[in-house]
Amino acid sequence: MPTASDRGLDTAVHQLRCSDPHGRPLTRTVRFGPWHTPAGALASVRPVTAADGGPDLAQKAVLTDLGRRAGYAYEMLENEARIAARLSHRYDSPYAYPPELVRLVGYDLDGEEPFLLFAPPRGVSLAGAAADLHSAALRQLEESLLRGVLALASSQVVHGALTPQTVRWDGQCAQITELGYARLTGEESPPQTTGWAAPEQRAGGHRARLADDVWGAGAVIYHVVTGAPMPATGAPRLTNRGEALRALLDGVFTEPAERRPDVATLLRRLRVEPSPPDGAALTDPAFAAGGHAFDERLARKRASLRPAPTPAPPPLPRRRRSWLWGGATALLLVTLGVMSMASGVGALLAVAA
Amino acid sequence: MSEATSDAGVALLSLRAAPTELARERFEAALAAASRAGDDACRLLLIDDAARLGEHHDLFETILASRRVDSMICLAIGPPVDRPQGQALRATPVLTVESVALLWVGDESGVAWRMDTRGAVRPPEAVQTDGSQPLSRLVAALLTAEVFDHVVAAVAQLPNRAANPGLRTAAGQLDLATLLAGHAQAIAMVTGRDADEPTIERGGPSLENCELLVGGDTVLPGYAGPLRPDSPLVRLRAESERSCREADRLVRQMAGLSGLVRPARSGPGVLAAVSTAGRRLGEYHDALTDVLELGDSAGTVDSSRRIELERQGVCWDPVPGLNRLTIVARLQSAVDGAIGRYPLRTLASWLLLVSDRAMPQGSAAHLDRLDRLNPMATAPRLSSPPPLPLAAVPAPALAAVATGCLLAGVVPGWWGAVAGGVFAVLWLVMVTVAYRREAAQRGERSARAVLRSGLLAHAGAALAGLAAGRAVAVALAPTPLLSTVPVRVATAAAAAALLGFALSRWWSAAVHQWRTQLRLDRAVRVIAAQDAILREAALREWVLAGQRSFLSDAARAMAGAVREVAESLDGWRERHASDADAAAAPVATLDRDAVGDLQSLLAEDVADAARATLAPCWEVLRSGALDRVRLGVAEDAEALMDQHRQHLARQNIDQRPPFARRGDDARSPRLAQAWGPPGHLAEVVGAASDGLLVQLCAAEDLQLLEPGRWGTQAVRFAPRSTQDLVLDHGPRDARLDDVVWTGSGHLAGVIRLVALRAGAVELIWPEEAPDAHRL
Amino acid sequence: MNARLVLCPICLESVEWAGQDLFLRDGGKYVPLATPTTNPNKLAVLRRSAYWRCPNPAGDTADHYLPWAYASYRPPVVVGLVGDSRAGKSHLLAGMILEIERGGLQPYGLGWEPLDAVRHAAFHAEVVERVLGGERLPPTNPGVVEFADALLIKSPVTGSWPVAFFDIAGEGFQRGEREGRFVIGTRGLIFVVDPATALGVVGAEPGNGGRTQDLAFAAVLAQLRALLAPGQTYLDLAAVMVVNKADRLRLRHPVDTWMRPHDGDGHVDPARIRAESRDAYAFLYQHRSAWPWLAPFDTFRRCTLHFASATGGEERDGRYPRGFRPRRVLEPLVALFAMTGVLAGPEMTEVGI
Repeated sequence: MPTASDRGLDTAVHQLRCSDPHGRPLTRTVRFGPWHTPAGALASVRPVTAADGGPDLAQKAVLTDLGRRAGYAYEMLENEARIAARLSHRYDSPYAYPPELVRLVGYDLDGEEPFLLFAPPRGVSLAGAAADLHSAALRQLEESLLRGVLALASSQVVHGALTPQTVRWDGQCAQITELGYARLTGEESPPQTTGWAAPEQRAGGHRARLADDVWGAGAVIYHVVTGAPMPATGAPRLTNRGEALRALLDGVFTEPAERRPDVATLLRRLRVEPSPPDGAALTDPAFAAGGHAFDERLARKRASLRPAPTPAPPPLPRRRRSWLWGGATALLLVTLGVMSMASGVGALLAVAA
Repeated sequence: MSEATSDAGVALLSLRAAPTELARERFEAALAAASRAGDDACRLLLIDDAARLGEHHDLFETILASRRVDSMICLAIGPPVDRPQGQALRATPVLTVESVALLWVGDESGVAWRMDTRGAVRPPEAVQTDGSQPLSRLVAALLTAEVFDHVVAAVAQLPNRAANPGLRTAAGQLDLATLLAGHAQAIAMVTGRDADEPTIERGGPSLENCELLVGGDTVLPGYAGPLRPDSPLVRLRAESERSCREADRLVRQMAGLSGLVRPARSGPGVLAAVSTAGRRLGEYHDALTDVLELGDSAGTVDSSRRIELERQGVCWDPVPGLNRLTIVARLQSAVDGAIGRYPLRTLASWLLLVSDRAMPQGSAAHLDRLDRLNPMATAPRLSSPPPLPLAAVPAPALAAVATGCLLAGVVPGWWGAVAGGVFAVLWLVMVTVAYRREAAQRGERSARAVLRSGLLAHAGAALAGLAAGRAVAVALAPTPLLSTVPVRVATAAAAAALLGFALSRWWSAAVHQWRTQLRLDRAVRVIAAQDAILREAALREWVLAGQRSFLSDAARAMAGAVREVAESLDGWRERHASDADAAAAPVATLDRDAVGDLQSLLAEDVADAARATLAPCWEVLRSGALDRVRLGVAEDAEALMDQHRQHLARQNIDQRPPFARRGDDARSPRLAQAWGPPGHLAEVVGAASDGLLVQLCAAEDLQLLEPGRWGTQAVRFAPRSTQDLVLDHGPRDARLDDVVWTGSGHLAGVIRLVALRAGAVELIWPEEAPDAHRL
Repeated sequence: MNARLVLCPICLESVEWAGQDLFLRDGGKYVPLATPTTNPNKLAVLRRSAYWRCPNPAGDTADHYLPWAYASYRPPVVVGLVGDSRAGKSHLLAGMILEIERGGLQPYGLGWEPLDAVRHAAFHAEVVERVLGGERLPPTNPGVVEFADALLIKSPVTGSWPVAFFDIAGEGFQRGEREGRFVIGTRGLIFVVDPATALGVVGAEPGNGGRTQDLAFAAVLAQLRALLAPGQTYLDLAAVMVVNKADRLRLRHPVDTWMRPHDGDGHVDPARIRAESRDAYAFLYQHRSAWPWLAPFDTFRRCTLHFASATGGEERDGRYPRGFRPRRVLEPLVALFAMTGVLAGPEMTEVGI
């Protein structure tokens, strides 16, 4: 396994050893392409061509000098690994992995230059491709992107950084990549300062929620349809736009996140059935059982701390009490009956008179 | 001496420093060059050394004999042949024939000489302040056809048709660095910045009748609408409306005494009509919902759906004026018109906006609007209408009843009692009838208990009135007046009238209130509104779906092309930024003046370049290959910018570049500031012909000139495009009356032709060699 | 000076402290004070950095010295690390000591200093330096109770506590005097669970499946249960269970949520500790084969469970490529301190129960 970074072209064949998402060892015979570090990115990527007849891959790693400059890069890679592994576990065979999500194939996080192996991402990123799609393709893109977000949401994953750079399009299907900022719902997420992120994500201390991705997906759709960038703060103007866009993005850019529609609603607006892809259950029943076992044992321990409670005083004999209640009810009924009869008679007399 | 390019019919032939043998080829070449430039080259400017004029005699003969040249100016340059003798030129008589002018230039740089005072000579820079060579200016001026002709005519009036030229000129040109800096700025103006918000959303270019495709309400003349008049949907609507109106009419008829009395009017028929109206309303709504859902597809409706929709009555006749070709034409005219007025990037955003708004949504999106009209609240109300709100114990009616019976019974004697009783009974009968009708409206057989007890109240009131009437009658019994027949009749009539009125009012009030509750008029409006929604949906989402999709895609494709043009222009500008950097400062001083400014001139050129780049895209759009619209746009734009740059280097701002639009109002470009400070041009052109001008001869040869009334001609010239600059400045100058307005060129000024002294030009025939060829 | 009976944390004997002769530290050795002085002030100053030699009655430990003011400290907290020889106890302890040295206890308001400076220096050189260099430590000798290191933990609120760490490799545990002493003196136990044996989790090394229980756990628990009074279900000893080598598990649920870097902010949150204990318990509970490792939870009344990684990653060829990066190793220790009273506060009483 190459530990030093291979920069530049390298046509030699290498043995790549790592672990698959379940922790089992994985070995591939491959050739590496050149490393490429996008500007401002916290990891470098390179294409990996198979020399053993298997599928091609893409490798994403934190190279040594990048890691020295930005220690946070290792954490990002680890985070991406855990989220991608979670998705891989959920959509592993016999279920189909959704094509709208980037797929983790292998990882090695303990080496000198930790890396992840992905299935090669589709198409090109949407940055700069705003005006290239015609209307049918736009609709397909919207549907595909929202399906991807639905797949994430049904796994309780919040991507948190949906931008035209992280969403790719190959003409048929959109693909969401770059899970470095992704979190599970409820976890603390780092602040995002661009207009692509929901406003509540901009302050620190924000806990990830699914509504963040609704804003993000809406922002990407807005940019692709209108060609305009998202404003730095606040919601984009939709008032003069076409009805199709306004109908789809209605309510997506509202500020209290609770009022935002969820992804399923957006898909229904496109008249697509919002059924999330089938996947394994998020929690193992055995795990849940373990949790219950823990609670039970803990309760027993607590009980062993407290003194025994005093026995409650004996209740009244039941028979006597029921007689009391019955008597009271009967008296009430009799009184009401007498009163109504009296008034009825009086009315009749009045009419007859 | 450079080979000046010949313009518009003046051929240039320079024989200086060239052997005689090549002269003939040169002549042919010069004529060929001139004929390429435009009209027949019938004018020839021949430049030769003064000393070799005799040598070239044969050539001159040939030229003149060839008849290909109508007029010729011979510019002989060189020191005088024999200064002490006062001889300037030794020429052949060939050069003194009609239509030939001989100009002698004694010194190429010349001297500034004031002819009127014959004062001291000054260096030529005193006059020609812009550092140009007077001789080259003279040649350039003579290459202009109009000036050429006038100079020939002027020299013809001088003895020997020979003269020495003096001149003062001004050139309307800018230096290249300023031009390039201006060019860069013009590109920036045309392309716009990236961060521009689409500010032209409302005031953007209009698409005229294609506004319908993007949501505007345009009335299309000659278009019958998307629904066939005999279609099931239209019929359903008509039936629904009709039943509503019918029900309304029947309900209205129920009012009044006749409505109460005649069983047909207030019978169960009314109820049936109302519920029919409700049912039809519901049916219409359901039919619309079904058809909107059936036809729903974002984009063009496919053929099976289309067949079904046509069966329902949607008419897919082509909408006049909204086919692909007209759409592209409108889009093109909008974009072409907007290119100069809005930056390209803003235009691209606008195109994306158009694309967005033209995208069809699918007819199911209109279901929301249908639901908001809430016909489903109206229909049940009509299908099972509320009961007739007949008041059980109406106080006014009871009072009227009492009064009526009182009146009836007020007549003393048996008449009163009978009349009163009759009226009372009659009233009760009518009330019973009313109650029965009310029951019939509800579809039940018997009246409600409440109404039945109301009967008691009516009876009570009638009897009370009657009793009161009888009491009054008894009290008034002695009065004989009351027993008279007229009084009886009157009271009976009054009573009848009052009772009838009360009954009518009571019944009609209930009917009117019921009518208000039913709100059948609103139902009719709802139907009309639903129909409008259906038509709009049918037009925009079905019939025009294809055109809308096409417009959306076309606008999007053109947005990409426009953006690509903007980006390649900007890229070109950045690559050539170093050239314009040095001249950034002078551009700042070149600001707008009253006539025009460099910026808008160049911006117009760049805008034309953008239009020329986009022109093939429109053709590709028309052919339908939307994904190939942007092919070659970037390279083309850059090539045009290169061409523009070269054009500016060569032609300066005299002419529009070749890709410029030639419209009706294509004025030749003019820029006041190119001509120097204001008034300078007028001053140059109007300079006194005997004032200080650069005379093209050496100081000591001035004595060979013979100024004097006969001896001086002046030719003033200026380009036509600067006419107002020359004439409007300052008070009217008589000298400016006979300016020669040239059609093109960048020179203006005055040429003074001074005659030579007698004997300065010697004309001798050359000796004929014995074996000289006769050409 | 009154003679006092104190428990020496190193030889686990009760010894008499009577103001014995002073020793001063000179480089790597202790030298007796050459000339005793009569100046009381000078004596006081000397005593602050002086040591006294433990009489070492059992004679089974090398010479060891304790600080002069030992008698004024709180009773020593003897902490035993229990687990199989390959469970990673040594690495875990090295990680703990390293993190303490790096100031990991400061946010909790605790200071530290070595108890016996010379022994601590020796431990540092033998163990800590080696792992910092990326080397792998040899497994603990089986059947031995070994003293590893002792520190003085200083709390401004509760005083100074000597804390001694003992390594207990349990296979073939022989009941002997030493164990008896140990059992008496211990105040807290750290049970180190090796996921490779408990769950059969594999990483770079093959799983050591085939064990049905951790012998060390079993032995220690058996010893301690003998101490139970009749009718008493739970032992009142503080216990902490650490699922070690959690870096191998860090892409699994629920380990991925706990193994994320979470800077200790000095706030001990019993609810969070309980949540982690619950998740760790349920995680082990998922596999029936791991139930024996859960035995300590049913034995001790106050017991917490934690995920930790002593090394931060897998070893490659006997070395750790990115160095020794302990992860979350102090949380178990902090929980232990909370349960033994080193950390005081109202929420500390909630920890573990």
